[in-house]
Amino acid sequence: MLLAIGSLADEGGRGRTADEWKEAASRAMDRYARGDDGACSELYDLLAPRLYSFLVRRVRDRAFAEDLLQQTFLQMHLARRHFARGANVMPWAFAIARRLFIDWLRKQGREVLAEEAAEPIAPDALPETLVGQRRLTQKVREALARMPDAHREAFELIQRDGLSMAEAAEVLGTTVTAVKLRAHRAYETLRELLGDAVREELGVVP
Amino acid sequence: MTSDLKARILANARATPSSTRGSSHLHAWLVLPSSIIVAAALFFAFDGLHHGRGRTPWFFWASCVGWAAVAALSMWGAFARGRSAIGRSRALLLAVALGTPALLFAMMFGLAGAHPEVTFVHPERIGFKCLGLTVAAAVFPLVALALVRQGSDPVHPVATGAALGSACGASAGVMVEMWCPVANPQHVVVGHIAPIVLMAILGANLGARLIAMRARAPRGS
Repeated sequence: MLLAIGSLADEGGRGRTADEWKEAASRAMDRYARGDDGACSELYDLLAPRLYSFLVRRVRDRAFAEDLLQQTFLQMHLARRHFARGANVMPWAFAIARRLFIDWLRKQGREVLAEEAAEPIAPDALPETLVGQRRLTQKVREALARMPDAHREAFELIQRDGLSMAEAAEVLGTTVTAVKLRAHRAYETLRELLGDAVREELGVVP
Repeated sequence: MTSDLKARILANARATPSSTRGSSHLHAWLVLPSSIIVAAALFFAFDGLHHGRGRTPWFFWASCVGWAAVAALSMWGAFARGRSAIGRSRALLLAVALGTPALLFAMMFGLAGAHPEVTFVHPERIGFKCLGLTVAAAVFPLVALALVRQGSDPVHPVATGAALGSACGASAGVMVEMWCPVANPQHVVVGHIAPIVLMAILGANLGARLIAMRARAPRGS
């Protein structure tokens, strides 16, 4: 799972650190808000992989995730005038994607039962590593499914999407303290359900 | 992701007109003078300062300046977004929506408590005229600001709308405060505080309908 985050960060950030990547994306959005239409392509390159990963994990269908990604960019385009000078584009983009996902879910009126898309794995991994990783991913998925939505969302935004506590709080429309509490409870639940081995694998510090 | 997704997204953006930050700022700033013109027109249409005869000057100035300060603070909390594209937190927006009428009532109650003689002016007036005037003056800026913010809030549009409603109600209340000589608590509640609550409810409605970000089918899909 952490491998997946790493590969996405590389894809979106082209070797930049997380902060540099966020700054580059925010600068691109700032230019776009001022009317530089060329910045849209750069914005796509920087944001699309992360937003797609965020969406595909939720809708569990690549075609729907692409539709929602397309709508997310369309909304960012339509609402670009509202992007404040010097603001961070990450929470805004994730909040839009999340809103569209919630609307989509309400329209569907049902639980999505399709299998979650497989996460990328290292091409040179040993067979036993692959098996262990898949088993672990499955266990984590099951444990996450048992958590309250609010805890799971906070955990995923921070741990899987690479958002800071403050950014996750903005996306969820709540306070940093509430996000800290939810994420902490999610870690506790994971620790209870999965045990020490998984905690080490995840690199989660209790 | 499929290889043509980026091309589709860029083509969609090119085909869909959207305004930029500069034009949005201009629209937001235009709301201020137009709202003042609407409020001034209502003020003079209903006898202006003559209507407020009978009150003491200190009460006029204290209530008007206090009301204006609270309205400005409320508008800043509701409309300004600082350095965040999403805006204030839900808790702060709700604090603005609920705190504005509470703070104004406390201020008016305090002023009347310190000098009870101001409550003896026209005790028979219930406050329906003030209520109507406040709502009439507040509707225009509220709808205009909701249109400026149309489709902008993906997180808490109802709270944003409620805060804007409260702020617009309080701002319109400055004009009514200059106009109305009555200060007894019952009149203040019906004529001056209730319209702010009404505007907050209307704002919450506009938030859900106008300010909320809604999915829109991409062109050609």
